[in-house]
Amino acid sequence: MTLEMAIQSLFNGAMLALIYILIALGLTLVFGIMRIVNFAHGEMYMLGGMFTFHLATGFGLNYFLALVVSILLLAIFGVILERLCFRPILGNFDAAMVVGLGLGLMLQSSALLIFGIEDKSFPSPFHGVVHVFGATMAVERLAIVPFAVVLVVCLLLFVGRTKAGKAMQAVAQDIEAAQLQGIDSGKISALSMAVGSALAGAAGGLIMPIFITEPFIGGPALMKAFVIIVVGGMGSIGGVIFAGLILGFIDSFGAILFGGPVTSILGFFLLIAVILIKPTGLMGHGE
Amino acid sequence: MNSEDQMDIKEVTVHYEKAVALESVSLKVMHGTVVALIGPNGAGKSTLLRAISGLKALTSGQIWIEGKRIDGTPPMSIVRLGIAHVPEGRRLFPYMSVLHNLEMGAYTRTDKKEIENDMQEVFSHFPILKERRLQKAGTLSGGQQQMLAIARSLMAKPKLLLLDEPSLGLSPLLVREIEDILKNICRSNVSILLVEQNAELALSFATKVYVMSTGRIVSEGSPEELSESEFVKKAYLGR
Repeated sequence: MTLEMAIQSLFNGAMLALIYILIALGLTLVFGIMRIVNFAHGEMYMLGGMFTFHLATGFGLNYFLALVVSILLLAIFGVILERLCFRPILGNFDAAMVVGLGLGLMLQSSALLIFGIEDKSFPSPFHGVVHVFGATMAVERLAIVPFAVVLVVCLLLFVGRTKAGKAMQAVAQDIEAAQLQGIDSGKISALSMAVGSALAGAAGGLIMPIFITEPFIGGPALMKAFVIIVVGGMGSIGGVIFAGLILGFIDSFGAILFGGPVTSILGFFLLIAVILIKPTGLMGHGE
Repeated sequence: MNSEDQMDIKEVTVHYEKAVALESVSLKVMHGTVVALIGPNGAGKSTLLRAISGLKALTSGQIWIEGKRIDGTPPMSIVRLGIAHVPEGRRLFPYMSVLHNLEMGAYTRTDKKEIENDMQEVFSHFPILKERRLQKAGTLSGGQQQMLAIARSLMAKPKLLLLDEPSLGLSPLLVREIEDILKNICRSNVSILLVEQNAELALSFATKVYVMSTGRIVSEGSPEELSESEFVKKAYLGR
């Protein structure tokens, strides 16, 4: 591995890590607050890409505007899903799994019908390359990093500093005690699904110009997010950031050093190791 | 319904699946008083508090607060009715700081200035909480956690406080501290419904005592009356 390749892998790793983190944050938020894993979460990522693409091409919106509108649409969609699909089966993890899987299939097929099977991509508004310590990097890839970082920081500030965010923490830590303080756990659940879906949608929209967006990209995304939340600790935001960084860099360096198939195995090895040694996750509290 | 009744519990029956947890329980709390509910483990005392705060649905019966019927109200609306419930085991938010736990107590309030004042007042009554205000609640000692749980409930400015076993697991010295805190609370005209296995604590400053056993009220009266009762003496005061 040359210095050039190492630097490219470093930035690529950061980009991948941030995309993974954005997707996994939603999954962990929903788990922490609603105690379920939303198996349709990968489709939020896919729809983020789809909406951004079609708003930008079909409606002629500027890329950034399309991205923002998709994020808002996904947030609204998250609220609707909580109300219709998950609130009626409150607390029932198995039922939620079945509902999520079914919902995911529905969304994939709908996307196929509505948007078609062709891979979507849209040229990024960021053109050209830069040179960093002798390495050539595409600006469109680098540009994802600051946007993603801003989103993650906003989330951290929201959860840590706002009243609603603290209410989310309270519900995650003791739902009955939270209710006794007057916190509406239903509204907080809806909020967690809104924020979670929005973040996954943002990831989809950010990655659309450089990756492929098609109706079935949600599955692998969900898998990756699931590995991250288990490794990091289910319900732990810090855990997602930590595990997301580890996996992002494993994937980017692994792709160069070992190739694709071996790299995916590495990720699962990490998962198995964590489950054996610290089953609650690297930063998990214990479920 | 007497206009002096702050809370009137009428023939409340509660089931857990087929098992009867409460059977036709009736109880009253007058404004500005302390009512103690004593009895052995499993008598249904905690269940009654949970029924009041909406955490457990009634099978039958009614619960009235200041002339309004409240059974069936969801727990998240109970605190807006002026009722604060400190459940068994304190139920703090373990990974949130002391400060944030207190903030959550004031969740339904919108008067920022007043909340800030109340926070300062809480800190003056509980200096140890002020000292550890940034510490995660789960890392506090048992006695400190109990103080925080009570302080958090006071941040809601309740008119009625439901306290479930505040002395559980605490040393006699700490129990006395809790006793002082509770006496202070009564002085500010907040009524208390106190569930306790520690009958001494309950009898020491309650105005009215109810005794429960296997889901029913078996005896009621003033602390003096009950300390004289042979039944209560043997069962709960170990004399």
